[in-house]
Amino acid sequence: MSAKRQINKILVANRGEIAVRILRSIKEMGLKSALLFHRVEADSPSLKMADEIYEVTGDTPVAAFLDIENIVKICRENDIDAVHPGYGFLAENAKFVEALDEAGIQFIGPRPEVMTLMGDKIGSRNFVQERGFPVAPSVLDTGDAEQFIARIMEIGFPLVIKASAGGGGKGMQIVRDANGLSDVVATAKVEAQRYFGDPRIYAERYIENPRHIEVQVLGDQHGNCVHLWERECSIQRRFQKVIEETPSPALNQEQRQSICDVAVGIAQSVNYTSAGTIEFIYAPDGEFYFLEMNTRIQVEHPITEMVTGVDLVAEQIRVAMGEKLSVAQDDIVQRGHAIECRICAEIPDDDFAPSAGKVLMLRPPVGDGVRFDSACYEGQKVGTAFDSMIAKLVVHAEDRDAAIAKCLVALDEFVLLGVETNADYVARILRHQAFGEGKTDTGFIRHHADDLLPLAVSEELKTALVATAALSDRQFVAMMDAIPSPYRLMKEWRN
Amino acid sequence: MRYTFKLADEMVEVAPRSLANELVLAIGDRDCKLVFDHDRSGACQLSLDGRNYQSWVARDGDDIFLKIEGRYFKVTAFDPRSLVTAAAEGEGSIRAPMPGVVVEVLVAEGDEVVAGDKLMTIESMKLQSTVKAARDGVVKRISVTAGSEFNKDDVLVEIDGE
Repeated sequence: MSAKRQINKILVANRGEIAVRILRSIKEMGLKSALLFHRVEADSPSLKMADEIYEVTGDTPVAAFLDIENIVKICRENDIDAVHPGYGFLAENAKFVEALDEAGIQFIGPRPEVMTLMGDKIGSRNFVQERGFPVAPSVLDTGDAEQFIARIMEIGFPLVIKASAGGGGKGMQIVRDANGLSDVVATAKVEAQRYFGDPRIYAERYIENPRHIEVQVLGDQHGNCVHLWERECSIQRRFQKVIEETPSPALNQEQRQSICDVAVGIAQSVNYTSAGTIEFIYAPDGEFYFLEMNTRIQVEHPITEMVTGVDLVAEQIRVAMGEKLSVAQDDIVQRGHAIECRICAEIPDDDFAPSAGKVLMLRPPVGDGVRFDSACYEGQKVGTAFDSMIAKLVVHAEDRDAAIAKCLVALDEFVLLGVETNADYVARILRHQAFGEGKTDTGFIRHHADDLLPLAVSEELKTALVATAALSDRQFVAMMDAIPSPYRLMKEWRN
Repeated sequence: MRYTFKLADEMVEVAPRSLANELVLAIGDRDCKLVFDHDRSGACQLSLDGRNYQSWVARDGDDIFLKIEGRYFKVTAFDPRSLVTAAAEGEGSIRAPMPGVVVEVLVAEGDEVVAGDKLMTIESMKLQSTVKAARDGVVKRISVTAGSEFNKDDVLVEIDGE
């Protein structure tokens, strides 16, 4: 199935920085654009980038962007040929794709059946394993406890026992030796029943201090499928990525080739036809295991674009038009090193609590190799209606050390006043010795929590900042200006 | 006259010492000789004890946001004249915005008052100010008398809105 398909006008069914990012590619390709918006963001200058805008409503601002029926109706009534979903919202919702299909509107992403297959954690894992790709060794409980325990022993320790119907860490139990294993199994079954209404459990090898390494893939409708190398996203807090980079400092060229080949193999096995990401758990011993596939453009896609020079969103659009990928595997080389920092409205020193406020001053960093993806503007009221990520700072330099240095300079140039962000905090991570040495794993933020606290404010700095504040305060300055000249030496002066 | 600036949980008093040939401010318990310059973009430069500090500053009401030495801070300005009425707005219990002493009590318990009526005169930081009723009601309790000292957040007067 590779019929060429005319696309004239694309709806971006998203908001914020990714909407801006997608609109840029649409405009560069000379296509017409449409954009959804919710009234809480009606003042956003990013709305002016689109040729047409359509308001969506709902019980909550997020719900407005999830209203499949309404979005399909907007497409039908306004001659929209295709929809780019961005990430989040409806990006991995097969029902949305089916509804668009029925209306004759092209979804810019994979086929719904592929989305359904790869979107199921257990199902995708079984599919991948059956085709001979590496998954963490595991044993499913078939009901016979004795047999289950005997097979668990073959996996080796440490291992983790999970509820088959579970997720998000609930009902997970890490087991380090065989002591009391039968009790742990019995308890896990009871808890699985209680939490998820399903007593089925399974045991899996537990990887301590793993890295999160993922591979970007692209497929078209002509059977072409390529990888665009890996990204390492080990710096995470509460399962949310904070800093991503490519290449991974953990891989040598042979390991890199091996993990990327596996990723392409997995994508080919589902005839993948868009941009997608295969995520792996990378163990300290160099073993790696399939974790899951994300069937969308990802937040961290710009670092791949920086090192390969490929516009991933433009490729997605071309593929949706039935065209061939514009790049062949041999043309895709990793040039230099790229790092992305997610700038979030949050307070890292208060357990990453979300912050709110009005953006009073915004000075995006600029310069060679610096990319700032954002929909943020001065006067913007940052609230909690949507995600806390307000910008992505991406840098590209000839090697990792140079990229870290460039990123720190860019963070120094970057100014955002009025809303507390994690900008300061990400600079502390980048300056950390272990980060500099590439010793990154998913426990980095937890292990180095004490090192990542802000330095105490010296008395000298405190004095300087109170002086700066006072001399910038209109009322304080007016008070000084009102002091009559005979009293301008004020040792004795008093109101 | 002194102004108070709040940084995290700390209150720092600032008072002009000399505005003649050089700028000297008393900041906390230190007299500091300063040179200060800023432009319209919000870029500021401060020289303090011969050291230069570059910063970016933006204000929103009494909140002053700064980026200085690569770090972000918020400083809140307290103008002693505006403190009491600001704190009292909409409240039945009127609390002291900072430590001080009562100069004169102008009402008695049981008095009917309307919003804006003067309730008492207080002095904080060498500055007298008037405590006004923020809403209509009856003076339910007066917790202080003339000459009483009070601490920040002490309740001075309670007004029953019923």
